[in-house]
Formats: sequence, C-alpha cells, structure tokens
Amino acid sequence: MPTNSMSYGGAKVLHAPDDQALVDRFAAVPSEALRGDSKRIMIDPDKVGRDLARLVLSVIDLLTDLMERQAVRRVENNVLSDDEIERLGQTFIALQARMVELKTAFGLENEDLSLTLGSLRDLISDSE
Amino acid sequence: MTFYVYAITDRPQEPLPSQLGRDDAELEQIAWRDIGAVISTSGGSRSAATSDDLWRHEEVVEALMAGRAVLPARFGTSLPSHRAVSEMLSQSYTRFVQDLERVRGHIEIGIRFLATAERQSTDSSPVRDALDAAAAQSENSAPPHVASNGFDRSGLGPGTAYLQAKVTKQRFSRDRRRVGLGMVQKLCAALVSQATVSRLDAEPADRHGISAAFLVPRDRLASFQAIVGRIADAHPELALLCTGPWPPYSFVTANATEPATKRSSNGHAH
Repeated sequence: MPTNSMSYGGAKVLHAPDDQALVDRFAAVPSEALRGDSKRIMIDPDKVGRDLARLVLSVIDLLTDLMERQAVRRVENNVLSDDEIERLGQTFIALQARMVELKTAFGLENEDLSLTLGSLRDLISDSE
Repeated sequence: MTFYVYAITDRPQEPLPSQLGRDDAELEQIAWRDIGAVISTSGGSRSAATSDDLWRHEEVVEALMAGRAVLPARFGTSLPSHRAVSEMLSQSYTRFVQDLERVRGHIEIGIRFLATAERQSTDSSPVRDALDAAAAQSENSAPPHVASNGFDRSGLGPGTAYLQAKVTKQRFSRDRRRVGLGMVQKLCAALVSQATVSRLDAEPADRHGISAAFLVPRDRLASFQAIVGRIADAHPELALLCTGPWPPYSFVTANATEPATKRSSNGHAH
C-alpha cells in the first residue's frame, strides 16, 4: 500500500511511487473533468477587454497549432517546395511574434490561453 | 433552474441514500420503467466548480453504488427540465440497460503511467531502451547531411529551420507515444486477464502519460492490486499511479446529455 497521499482522494490511491516528487507530478496534472467546468469562458463586465482578448487569442493559438500540424504533415509528405516551406515557416514565426506582443499588451500568460474550447480542442487530439 | 445529473441506475424503487448533492441539495429520482436518473435541483447560475464539487458528485455516485448498478454521469452534466431527464431516459433506455448489465458487480480501477523515460536511473530497462531507440530512430533515420524529415541541414533559412524543429518534435512525440503505449500494453497483459474490459489511452501530448482503465469484478480487486504491485516492483523505472475503486466512468457508452443518434465514451480523469 502507498505511504504517500495526494491532495485529492488520498484514500483512492492503491499504489503510488515512493518518490513524493513523482506523486506531486501526478497530482499536478489537472483533472479533465474539473477543467471542463471551471475553465469555461467567463466574461467579467469589469474586465471585458482582457477577457475578450483572452478568448480571441485562445482561438488563434488553437488554429495556429492546427495549421502547424497540417504544415508538418505536408512537409513530411513532400508536397511543398523549398520556397514554400521557407515562406510557411516565416509566416509561423511572424505569427508567434505577433502573439507574444498581443499577450504582453493584454497581460496574458500562456496558461491563460488554455481555455476549454469544447470540441474545438478535440481537433488537436484527433490530429495527433 | 437546472437539474444536475449524478447517475443512471437500476432499481429505482429502492430508497435514495441520505447523501446530499451538489450545493447541499436533496437528491431526487426520475424513473422510467426499471431504470432511473438521480438528480438534484440547482437554482440559477453558480460560481466555477471546485474540487469539493467534484468529490460531492463522486460521493453521491458511490453511495448509489452500494445498492444498485450505476452508470455515473460525467461531472457537470445538467439538463434543463424534468421532462428533458425523462426524455433522455426513454430515448436511450436500451443502451442504458445494456450498459447497466455490463457494469453490474464491477468497479473501475485506473492506472496512469507518467514520463517513463525521465526517471533518474543509470540502469537499463526494456521500457527506457525502447523509448531511447524510438528517439534515436526519429533523429537518425536519414543520411547524415539530411535530417529525418528530409531537410538538407546545410544553409537553412529561418522559416525552414522553424518547420524542421516542429517536424522533429512532432515525430519524436508520436514515436514516443507509440512505443510507450506498446510497452505499457505488454506490461498490462496480466491485468487485462483480471478485468472484464480494459482501455488504454495516450494522454494529450503536453502530459506525456498513458492512462489505463480496467473494469474489474469487485471480488477480484485484491488480486488485481497484487498484480499492480508486482508490475511496479519489476519495473522501478515506471512512475505508476493506481487509483480506485471508482464508478465505471470509462465504460459508459450511453451519454446522459447526447441524443440517441450520437454516442461517445464518457470520459473521466483518475
């Protein structure tokens, strides 16, 4: 039986690593179920500008991720010329740079863009 | 007003447990033929869910499991009216009955394997060797002057270098997940023999883990747990977390909020 307990449901642990640091890493992984409810998009009337930016940037971040995966697939399938690969890569670099600027302008961190976007997020899982 | 759903159960004629539901609301039951939905009423909008809410949901479902076969609803499932609950029961009745029959007398055990290649050890192991081999194959499956994704390494522009890095990263991630799943699948063979049903899933790429869920007859819990202990002892390089017993969240095929024409598995994180 484990000697370690976790912040959630220690009584539910049937076996855990002896190394507490590893147990903490398991506990640090957010529960999908809880994420699904607590990180839904909420617009606060007092911070509507920042919250809208957070929503819009989350969607852009997701779409960028999807486009990059599609670009990687096309590169791997050799359907792009060298020039097209270079231009595509530079476009992604410019997009990332712009995203950094916008996140800074609205005081947002990368974690702020990990909103639950319902079935949109499934697009990422499906493409992996 | 909304109606928060905890579970679909058999034996709706049995009294409900005294357990209070979310926001300390009393439990209610809506029956249809020989099955029922256990719900509580929630008034208006509420603040974001907390881990206490999650555990309250779990406590209600476990209390129900003491006397019934139970299909746990996914945390956060709500329907707008009593009528919607009744329609959900009637429309998916056949599927609910089949699922209830399958999970009766069973509990779910979850196992998560985390970051198998990152344990600090100088010892070799089949798991780490396989993962290392996958990583090496990702990098070295092309001639020396050509990267594994087909790029010529000489004279890369910044855009090409950016995409090259993405290709390498995604290929490594894919290979690692594939090999990791295969290795865990082999290790889990002994556990699968103790379970009625099992499923193995690679977690999203940002977590680098593998999750397994087992539908285990209640009377086999001890032997299942003993096998888990033996696997952990034999593979100290694996970070393995085994939890349970849980309601059979991963083995419900009928979803309480989807129409009968659209089905998906009911997810739950252990």
